[in-house]
Amino acid sequence: MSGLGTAFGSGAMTNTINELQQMGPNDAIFAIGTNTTECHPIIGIRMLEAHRRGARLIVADPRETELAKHADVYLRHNPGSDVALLNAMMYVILTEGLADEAFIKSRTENFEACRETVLKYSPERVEGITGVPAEKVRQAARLFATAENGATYYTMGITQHTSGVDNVLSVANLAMLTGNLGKPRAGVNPLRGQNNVQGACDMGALPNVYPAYQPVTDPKVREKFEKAWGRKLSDKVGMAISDVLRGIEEGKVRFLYVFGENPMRSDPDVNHVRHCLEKVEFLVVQDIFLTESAAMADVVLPGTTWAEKDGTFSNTERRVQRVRQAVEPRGNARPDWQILRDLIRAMGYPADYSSPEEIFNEIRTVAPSYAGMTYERLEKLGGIHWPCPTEEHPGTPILHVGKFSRGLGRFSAVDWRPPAELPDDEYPLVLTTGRRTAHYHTGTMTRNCWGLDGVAPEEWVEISPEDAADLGIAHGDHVRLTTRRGSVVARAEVTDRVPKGVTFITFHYTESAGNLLTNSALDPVSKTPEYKVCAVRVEKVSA
Amino acid sequence: MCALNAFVVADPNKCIGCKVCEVACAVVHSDVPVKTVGQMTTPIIPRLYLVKTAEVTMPVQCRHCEDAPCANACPVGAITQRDGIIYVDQEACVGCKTCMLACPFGAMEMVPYYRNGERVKQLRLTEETGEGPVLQDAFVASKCDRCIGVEGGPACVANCPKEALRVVRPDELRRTRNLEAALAVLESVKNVIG
Repeated sequence: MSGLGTAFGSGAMTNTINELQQMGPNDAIFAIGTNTTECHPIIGIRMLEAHRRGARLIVADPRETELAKHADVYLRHNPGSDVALLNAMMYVILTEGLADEAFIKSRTENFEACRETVLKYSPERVEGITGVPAEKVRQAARLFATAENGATYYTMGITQHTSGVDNVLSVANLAMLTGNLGKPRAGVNPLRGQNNVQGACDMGALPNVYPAYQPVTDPKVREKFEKAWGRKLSDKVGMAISDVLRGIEEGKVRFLYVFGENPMRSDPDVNHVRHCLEKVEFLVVQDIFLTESAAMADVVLPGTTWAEKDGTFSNTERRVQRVRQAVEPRGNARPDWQILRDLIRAMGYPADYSSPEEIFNEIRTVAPSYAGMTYERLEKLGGIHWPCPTEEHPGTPILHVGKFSRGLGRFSAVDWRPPAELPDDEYPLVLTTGRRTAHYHTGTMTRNCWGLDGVAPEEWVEISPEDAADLGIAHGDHVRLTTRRGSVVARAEVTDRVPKGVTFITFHYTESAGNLLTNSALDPVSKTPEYKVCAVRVEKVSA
Repeated sequence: MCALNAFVVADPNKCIGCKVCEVACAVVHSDVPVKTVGQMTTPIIPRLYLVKTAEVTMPVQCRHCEDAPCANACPVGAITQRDGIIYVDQEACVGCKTCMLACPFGAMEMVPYYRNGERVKQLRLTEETGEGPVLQDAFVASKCDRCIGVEGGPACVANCPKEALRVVRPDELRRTRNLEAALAVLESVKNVIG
């Protein structure tokens, strides 16, 4: 979000998913740091279909995912070397005259600074950092830059690093360098991991903005919301999750209200999270199951599941869609909006909302990008892409057409920095993390579904045949993974999917919680933790 | 019946390894009828098996061999040809695993036996435990039955999001291939004068 905001003025997917279905021989797909076929299977299938129709497919990932197996060029780069890899691709594009000069000239700024930096990163020079043969980088760069349209897709493999913002800026640089913005079958496309995480961000569930990304530090914006809500508002940026945990440790944060999240499994360094949740004076958790976090709460508020909900979801491609209630809430569960309304009332504010639609109509009055959406229009059109400023506006499937949200697209000069924690003698392997198709996030829902859990009932960590042989580990053995923060036991999947020196674990399983191991080192700008790289020791557990 | 046995096969170029086929298979073969996997109370026991390695990703299942090695090997005659499939009579199975040895595809598996959602015990076989002898759990041979009698045909084929699975009917397959080959010859000679 921070990276794309800096480059383009908007931190969301620039294009739409359906464009994949129009892709053919003149188009290129560049997927970096996304295990799309596993984590976004429908989008992954469409990528493979586009590839079968002739679209070029370039995949960069330390793990040889299903998508990677089908790629025209597969770049197996070392975890945390994304900036070096992307700069090397841009080096090839610049030095071989493949850049879109006209686009750079008319639509962007600060190109010279970026160019100067990129020219330090010849593919040969960075081989030692990325682990990718220079010739492969050249092939990938040519394939992408010579396509008429090139779309880049990424997920947490780009963002969950101490260099996450730099990684995103580099992706944005590559897209601008090749003129791949503001047109169909192109763009920079961060795929969101959840059905409404875009919506949560749109609503201002971030420390620095009101709904629709209006900065809390802007006096005009503050005045507008003070008028709308009839209360004095703060002009200070709030806390990121990591600041909240530190605040608890320092005694500055005494009350915590966790809503639809399970930090005891989803946050890095879970032992530290447990310490903080134990320390906080008053903990409220609102969720649909008694999660590991809810089990620690002073008060648990039972929320509703997707099937019991009414309202809207805003998906990864900025499309706002209606969700309709299928069944009545079970037991004590209540719709989230009613719980929040009653809380606000109890705190002395006259909240008198009677339906999600009424709340949506209030959103329209304060969030300009939602202003033109009504429930009736959402129903009729099957969803609308923001921005949609007026009721006559058709919505905006493709951003930055003719002009970027911020005016000119801004190039950044980005140098590669190593990850925060690298292997050493004591912890000799790299551990990276991710997900599996059968499970969703911390498994709050999917591990409570007997069927889905039955498909993937336990953690299998991936380890390369070379490392397994060195450590005397056979496929199916129980192994102990230990980092500076914690230790878990899981089964070993001996597989070439991971390269020598790299192991992989998910964060779905309570009994083998991957985030007991991960590093809470943060990106300095976005404050996203480095889930994707830490140093680990692996040992066989004798039966 | 004189037609060759049909079978389900996957396309490794299309499969993404999502296991929807395994889930769909387990649901349709659930001992207690269920609408979705979320309603199941017995373990997920699929009758096709996803292979997911660096080289290949696709599910593997029974080929319904004409001279089925599993049937030939079964010492109690529990495996027979029936309505165009090779069928396992789980009541008769003694769990000797000879069929597993015989099957060249690894399509046969020994699975925990359930009846009316309850784990079936062996009739007499007990295991000595601290609290005295306890009846052993029953395990029986299990494999693809091509969803005989299921509306809409095999559940794996019907549910694959990538349409990576299909039913192959050998006689049709031969006719289609013959036609393709004939058309290819036509294409290659059509510009030859003579």
